[in-house]
Amino acid sequence: MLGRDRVIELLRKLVREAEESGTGQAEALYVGSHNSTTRFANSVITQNIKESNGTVYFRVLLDKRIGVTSANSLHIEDLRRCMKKAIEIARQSKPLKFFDSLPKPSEYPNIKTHYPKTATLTISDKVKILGNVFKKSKSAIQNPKSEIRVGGAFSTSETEIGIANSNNLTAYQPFTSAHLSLITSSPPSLGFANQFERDVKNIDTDKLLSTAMKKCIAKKRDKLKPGRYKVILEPPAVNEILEWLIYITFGASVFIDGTSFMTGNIGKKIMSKKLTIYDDGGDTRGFPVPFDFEGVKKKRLDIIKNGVAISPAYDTLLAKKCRKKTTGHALMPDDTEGPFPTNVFIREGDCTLDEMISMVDRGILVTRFHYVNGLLDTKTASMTGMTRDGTFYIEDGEIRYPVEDMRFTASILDAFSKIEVISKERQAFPTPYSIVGVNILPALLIKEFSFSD
Amino acid sequence: MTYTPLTKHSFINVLEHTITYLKRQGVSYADIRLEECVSEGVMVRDGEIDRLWDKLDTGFGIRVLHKGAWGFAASSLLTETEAKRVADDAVSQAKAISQMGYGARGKGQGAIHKNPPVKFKHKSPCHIDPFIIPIEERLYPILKATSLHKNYRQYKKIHTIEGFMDFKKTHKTFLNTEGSFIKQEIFLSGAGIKVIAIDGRDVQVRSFPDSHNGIFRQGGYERIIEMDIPENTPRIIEEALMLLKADYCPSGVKTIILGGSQVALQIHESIGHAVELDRTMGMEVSLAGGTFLTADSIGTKICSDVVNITADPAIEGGAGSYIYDDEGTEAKRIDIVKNGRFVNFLSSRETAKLSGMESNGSVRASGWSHIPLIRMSNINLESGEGNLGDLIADAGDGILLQTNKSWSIDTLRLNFQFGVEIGWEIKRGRITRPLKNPVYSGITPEFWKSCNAVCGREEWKIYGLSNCGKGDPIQNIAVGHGAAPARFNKVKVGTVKC
Repeated sequence: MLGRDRVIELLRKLVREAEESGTGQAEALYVGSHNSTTRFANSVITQNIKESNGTVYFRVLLDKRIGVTSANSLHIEDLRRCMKKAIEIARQSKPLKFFDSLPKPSEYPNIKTHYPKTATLTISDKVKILGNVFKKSKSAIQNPKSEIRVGGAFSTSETEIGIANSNNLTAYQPFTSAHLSLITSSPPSLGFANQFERDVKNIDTDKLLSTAMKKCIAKKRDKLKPGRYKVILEPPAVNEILEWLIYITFGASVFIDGTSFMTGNIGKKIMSKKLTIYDDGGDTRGFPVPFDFEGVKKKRLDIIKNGVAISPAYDTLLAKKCRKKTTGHALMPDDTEGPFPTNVFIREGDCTLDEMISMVDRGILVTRFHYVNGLLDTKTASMTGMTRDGTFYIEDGEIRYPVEDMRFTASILDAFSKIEVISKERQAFPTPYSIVGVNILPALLIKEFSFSD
Repeated sequence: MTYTPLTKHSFINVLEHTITYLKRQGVSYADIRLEECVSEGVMVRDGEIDRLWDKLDTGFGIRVLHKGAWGFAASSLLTETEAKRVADDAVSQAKAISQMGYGARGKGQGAIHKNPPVKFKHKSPCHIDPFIIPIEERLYPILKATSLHKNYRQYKKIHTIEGFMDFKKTHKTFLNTEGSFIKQEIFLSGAGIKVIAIDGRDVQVRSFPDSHNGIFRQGGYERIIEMDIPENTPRIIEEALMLLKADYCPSGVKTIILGGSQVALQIHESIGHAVELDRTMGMEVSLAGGTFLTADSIGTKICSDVVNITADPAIEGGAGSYIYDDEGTEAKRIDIVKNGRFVNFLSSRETAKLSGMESNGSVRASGWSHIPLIRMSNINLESGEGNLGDLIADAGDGILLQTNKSWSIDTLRLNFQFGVEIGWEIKRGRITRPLKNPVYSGITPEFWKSCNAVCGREEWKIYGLSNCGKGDPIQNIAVGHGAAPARFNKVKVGTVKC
């Protein structure tokens, strides 16, 4: 970690040099990270990866023309070359008539997002933690023939983000994160549990192992017929679907393209009134992030409110194009598909998962999905995917038996119009759209969900 | 704050000393990869540049095997001090895991077969260096193609045409404790356009030369010229408009013909990933999943007799081509499926040793910061006989399905569903009308056993993806697929209604 003073000093110097080189406005973003992942399978550690990287991104604005470059080097000559290239790209680009300025400075809240013990967790610490998980998975089984094998990944990271631009905007924030995912396997059954935290000390390995093991104790799985079932999607399953909803619907780019189901439906009720989906980088009940990747202060954005479509996420560029205000959702400058919301919450309900199960006469409990694809028809958010790592038949309010994995093919717009109950417990998931973003999601009970062959 | 790195030449000297240092630490094996990747890309929309970027990504990764446990550390800082720190880090990881008894040796993993030392240099062909072509000239094909609909009333339902172009030049230097020193330079070029037509709630997309950002191949700007994007765009625009008026694809069990690019993705998802030996061994269960193929599956029939599938890392222009893989093993062309029988997994030095075989050189990392994994190189469906017209004429009634739209497959690579951009109804051996929103599904061996014809060499092309994902953290890598249109019987076909 370079720390606030060194990062901001470097970025200010680069912005000054860019201005002196003839650019109108310039922005420099630094993203530095130390990532460590330990992977395990069959209850042994198979891979361990540690990586240190630091990248400077330049964005220059020259007569309304934009140039973007990046280099993962702190060598001043590399950075100068990169800056010159950004100016060259801007000179050769067509002017964007609507884009007149990079963001102005903001005051950011003081938020604790960095935990030194997470940053300094050693491989020995991780091996001890995982060793205990492996031992406990063995000792929990009375029958020596019924071995439970554990696979998964244990990742920790330390990240620092700094931004400076020609409008005297400066921003800096360090982050840590820890993510443990466990897959327990006792053929033919599999179980899954995961936990994401900023502070590694909050990860409860015993609870995770217990959750995953409960899902994989059965020796037999029944096969259900395809059809429409009442379904409970646990938070990991909701997360798989939400990642695709964000991609095909909640960003300004697809909204402008017209492929988002929100296009033409702002202000209209398109989902269950029980459903509110919002993004809030400032909400301390989640994992706050004070600013986006161009330094705009995070605030709450209602995306779906009581089932009504409110707004997609904008960055400065696309907001100006649409004569809107940025919602603070710029991604890294080399991103080609955003902006996207990166701190998404689904508003919690008031039932526990057990209470939700007790409400189901006949239905299916889905732990998570595999390989969901949301491109079948984006206007109806039609998606397909397979269940994995624990799918169960519910009858008379109780989980009866595990079932073989099933393919769902369903319109999520339709499914989310039929939400009956939302859990009060919510779980955190890292988002693929930002290295520091986190989604906070409950379980959903949906009246009808289509499973195909 | 900034620092002065060593020149690449000096840093390679440092890495040679680091190999000597690692040997002194008593490791069983170690390798180092130094990579520099320069890339330039652009997104255009309706004839105007949307985003244009230039990226430099440099760093090195050190992998160490010690008493059955692996360690890997990587850094973007090219200094002598950092090289030693990263080497020590990789060694201490491996030692910590092995000392605490959680390495893989107990399960037979964590050992590799020996490779002979190799000194080798390779540069993939690049006839026109894309990086020296002025931006305006370079972007001409996609700027022109994406502006063809503007100012024409008959194209008012064409909402947007997007274009994408990307070039990458990667220098890779590999050293290991066995004495190998391998330098490879690879150019990768890709481009494509996407036409979006909208009528109310109906959104139809047609892409060229393939969906999901087009086709990627090794080589230079000549790959873009070969695509003839502006010349093909009017046809793609017309097809997008036709789809708005087309009927939905009828549901049922039907004969289908897959276009070449869809065959490429079908191979990728249902065969290519399924034959990765690390999946068989459960090593990817946490994210990517396993496979329906087990060690006992060698020799079993998983496809019909007309299906022959090869892995060929040395094919010219394949997006996944190389001469030596990222463990220093020489690339080999191997049969994966021979006359319908499964004959070979893709393997690494570790998984091959565990299976009593030798690695077939199928290991790559997506960059300096990632650990090498078993990856597809170019997985090809070998050509059969005849052209697409012959296949259609012999089909009786059926549907021709072209250009991938969606893809999904289960953790064992068995239960799949694909959506495509366009279907063409075939009646009595003739194309009759376009069909919108087709999807087809199946179970991998049943589906491939129903293949009764593959087109000949005149229809065979190399397709390439830039973003095949595997591993945790996810590694996106370029892979190639040689494929020709192929026909399958009794396939479940359906539609997605708007």
